[in-house]
Amino acid sequence: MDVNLIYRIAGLGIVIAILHLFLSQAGREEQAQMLSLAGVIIVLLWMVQLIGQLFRDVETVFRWW
Amino acid sequence: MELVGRVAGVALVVAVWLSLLRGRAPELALALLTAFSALALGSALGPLQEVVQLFGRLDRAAGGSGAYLGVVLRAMAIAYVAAFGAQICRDAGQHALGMTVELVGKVAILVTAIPVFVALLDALWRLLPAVA
Repeated sequence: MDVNLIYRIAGLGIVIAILHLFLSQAGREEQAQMLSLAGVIIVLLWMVQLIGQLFRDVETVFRWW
Repeated sequence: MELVGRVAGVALVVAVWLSLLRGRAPELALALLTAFSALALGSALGPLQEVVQLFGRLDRAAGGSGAYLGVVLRAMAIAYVAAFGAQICRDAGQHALGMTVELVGKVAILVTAIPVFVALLDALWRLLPAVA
C-alpha cells in the first residue's frame, strides 16, 4: 500500500484551499476559480491512475476463466 | 494484521484531513476519499487472492471443472467494483448515481449467473422427463 499519493493529494488540497482563500481575499475571484479548477484536474489525474490500478488488480485477482 | 493496522492508521489521518478540507475544498476532499478507498481496497486484494486460490484448490479437489467457480469469482469481482463506485457516489451526496451503479452491478451479476441457471434447468429437465 503506497500512501505517498494520498499524502500528496492531501497536501495539494490544503495548499489549494489556502491559496484560494488568499486570492479571493485579494479580490481576484477569477484566478481563485482557475486555481481550484487546476487543482481538481491534477488530483483527478492522480485519482484516475489509482482507480485504474484498482480495477486491474481486481481483474487479475478474480480471474479464473 | 499489519494491513489492518496500516489501513486504520491512514484512515484516521484521512478522516482528520477530510474534515479540514470539506469546508474549503469539498471537491478535493472527495478526490482524497476516492483515492484512499481505491488504495485500501487494492491493498486488501492481496490477502483475498490467497482465498481465491484456496477456492481453486478446493474446486480441483472436488473434481469441479472450474466453470462454476469462475461464475462465482466474476460475481465477486463485479460486487467489489460496484460497491466501491456506489459508495463513493453516495458519499459525494449523489444517491441516485449510487443506486444506478448498484443496479447495473446487480444486472451484470444476474447475466453472469445465467449459465448456472441454465445448468440447473437442464438437471431438472433430466430428472423429470415425464413432464416433457
